[in-house]
Amino acid sequence: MENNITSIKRHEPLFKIFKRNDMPKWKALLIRVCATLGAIIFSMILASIIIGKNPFEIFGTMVSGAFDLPWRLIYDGVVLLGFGIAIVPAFKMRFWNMGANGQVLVGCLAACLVMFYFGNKMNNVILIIIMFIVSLIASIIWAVVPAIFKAFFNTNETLFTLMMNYIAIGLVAYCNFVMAKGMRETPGIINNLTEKGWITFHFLPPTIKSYILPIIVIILITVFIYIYITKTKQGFEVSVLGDSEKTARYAGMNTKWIMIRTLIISGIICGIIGFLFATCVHHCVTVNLCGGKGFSGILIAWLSNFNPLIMAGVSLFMSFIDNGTSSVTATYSLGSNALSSVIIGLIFFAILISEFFIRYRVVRRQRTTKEAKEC
Amino acid sequence: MKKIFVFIFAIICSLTLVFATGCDGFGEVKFDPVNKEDVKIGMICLHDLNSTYDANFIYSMYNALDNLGMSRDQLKLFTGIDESEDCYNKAVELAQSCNVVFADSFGHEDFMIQAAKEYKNVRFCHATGEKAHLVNLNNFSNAFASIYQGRFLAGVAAGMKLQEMNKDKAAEEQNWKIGYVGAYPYAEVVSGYTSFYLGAKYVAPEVTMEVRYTSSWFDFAKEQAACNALIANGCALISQHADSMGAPEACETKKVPNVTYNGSTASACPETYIVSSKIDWAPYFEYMINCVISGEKIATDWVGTIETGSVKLDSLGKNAASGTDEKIEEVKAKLVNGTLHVFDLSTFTVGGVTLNSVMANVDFDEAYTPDHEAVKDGYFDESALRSAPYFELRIDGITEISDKAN
Repeated sequence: MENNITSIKRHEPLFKIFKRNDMPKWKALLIRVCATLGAIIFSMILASIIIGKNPFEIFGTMVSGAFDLPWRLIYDGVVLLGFGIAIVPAFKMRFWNMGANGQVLVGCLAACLVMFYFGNKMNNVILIIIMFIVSLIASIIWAVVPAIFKAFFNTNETLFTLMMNYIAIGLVAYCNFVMAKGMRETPGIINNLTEKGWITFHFLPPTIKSYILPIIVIILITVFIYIYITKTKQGFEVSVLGDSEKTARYAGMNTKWIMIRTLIISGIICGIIGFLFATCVHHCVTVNLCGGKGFSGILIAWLSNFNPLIMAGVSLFMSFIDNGTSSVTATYSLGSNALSSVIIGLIFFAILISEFFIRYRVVRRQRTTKEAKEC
Repeated sequence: MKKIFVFIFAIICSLTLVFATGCDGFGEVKFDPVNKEDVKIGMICLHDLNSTYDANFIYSMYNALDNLGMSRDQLKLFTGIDESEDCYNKAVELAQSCNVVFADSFGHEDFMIQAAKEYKNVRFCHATGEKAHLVNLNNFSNAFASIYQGRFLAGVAAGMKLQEMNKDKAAEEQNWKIGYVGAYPYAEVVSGYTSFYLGAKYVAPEVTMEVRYTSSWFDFAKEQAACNALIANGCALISQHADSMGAPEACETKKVPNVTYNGSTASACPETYIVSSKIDWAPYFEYMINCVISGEKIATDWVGTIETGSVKLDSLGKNAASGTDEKIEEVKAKLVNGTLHVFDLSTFTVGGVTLNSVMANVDFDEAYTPDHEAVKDGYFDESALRSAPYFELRIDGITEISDKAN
């Protein structure tokens, strides 16, 4: 009997991880701030060793570089927020939509194709309306196909949406090649001279004129999604389905339809972002259009517990780090973006680690010394 | 929910109606002289130092700064900038603090023009572009070099090598076929491979050439595959116009001589490296910076030549044919004093016919319509009407293989 108990104790793992809910909010916030500051200080020291300048000067460059174009900073943050918001309804439902990149990409591609082939053939307003509609349709298709397969055949949505990204990238590369008649990689800025299919506000300063509309629209979408998730019946259905599919089914909900409907909403948001990219900002579509924003969006949504206000803050912070580090590599002419990637990685690593310790408690195995004595 | 979407849609539509039209006028802007110590230079590169193409620009810029006695802190360098909105963003960011912004990749041009229209007191310079003479902006200019001369000289070295390889062989065993890996079938590449071919033909009249495209400027695997396909098709020597090490390394593996571009590969491929032609951008950068210092206008189309030191050959590889150095010096002297022209119409035929007039597409348009007579005194006068090449003839002796699967 005695032997038995000790053997059980010996198999107890060295560390145990418990979920914790008791951490006060101020303490959680303090941990996050300290982790972020610690990572920034560490990366500045690292950068100063590599660049050979004093770390305060490098930090100064980072801050001034990021705030050089304040509208740009806000725009970048808001776009990241848009990507995050686009996946929120699906994630609330525990539908792991990894495909925001691809969904935005096809939306932008559809708008660009219309802009390229019909740019000089119709009235500008009608053209823009058609661009808007085709963007929505394309993005909805990209979002809904995985949802339909998940609803009816129970396929894995993570892989499915991820793969849809690559199809979108291939499609964009091919369409660009066709538009450029096989002579170039891309056709360049579409309708550069005629500005057909563009929405630009020429009376505004150049630093704002392309960004103002996307900023306004994405903020409106954010408000809308916040209301949709927290205040409407449909939003409630989504969270019930996320918590337990069986509960949802026994409560008489049509789970298949809810899944598809929610992904239609994701698709619509991505379509709007893609349309705004095509008509306001980029006026062309490239395979790297979204970069990793679709995935950063997931990180943002997850870190902020799907709270839109916190998401906005995290997005702005991310765009600050992004623009700041890119400015550091440019100012010191490092000739490669590796250092900025390292800094970004370090900062997010610190945030994720702190998040782990905020959400979980790690307990070390007790009485190890006593056990050793007994043996 | 529907109401909100309708609302957003209505906002977008109404804003469109009100603001969809608009236009800017361009006035002449005079530039003030700037102290050498205060000059700030912005630079935008497509890839980073790992690409031979971009590394060539970056090191040339460092050399130019050293030659002018300026500090490298005066340079702000963005690397890895796509040919997209990203380029415009970085150009705008640089325009906040720099006097002159330079971009190195062909596809950057539209975005540089867009930035140049908005920041009229900053100069924007773009290498390899072809629209500066069309947009007519005081602060936007193109630059290139007469690299066709360099490729012609590299072709001479290739011809010498073929001569050496075929010297002791019977007529039926001789192999005079050259392979060429190109990026895209447009003028910059066509002009490049044709001048290379004509250089080889200048010393070895029997040569023929096969060209394969990769549809990418930087793709190691595709360049390697295209190179291997050329070797499998019986090419005795390979050259390339794309930016990765794909072709040179494939040649080193298969022990096929390689004439490279944009920098010597002697250290990575010691057995097969013959010679490398390249554009040295330092003379242009020095010119550009001097213009900023003096407040002069930067030439809308600037073409570097052998004489300005822009077109260069790297030192020969250890397996280059003997006598190559002397031959190259001899041909170079002829090119400089004008007794020899690269695109001399009497040295090649198109469809079996010797041409005496060529209309070239100098003013960019979607349909690539020919618009200017390019022949002068019996030779095709490349890079005289604009800095970017516009020789696009497919001459006899060269076979193009376009692989749609790529």
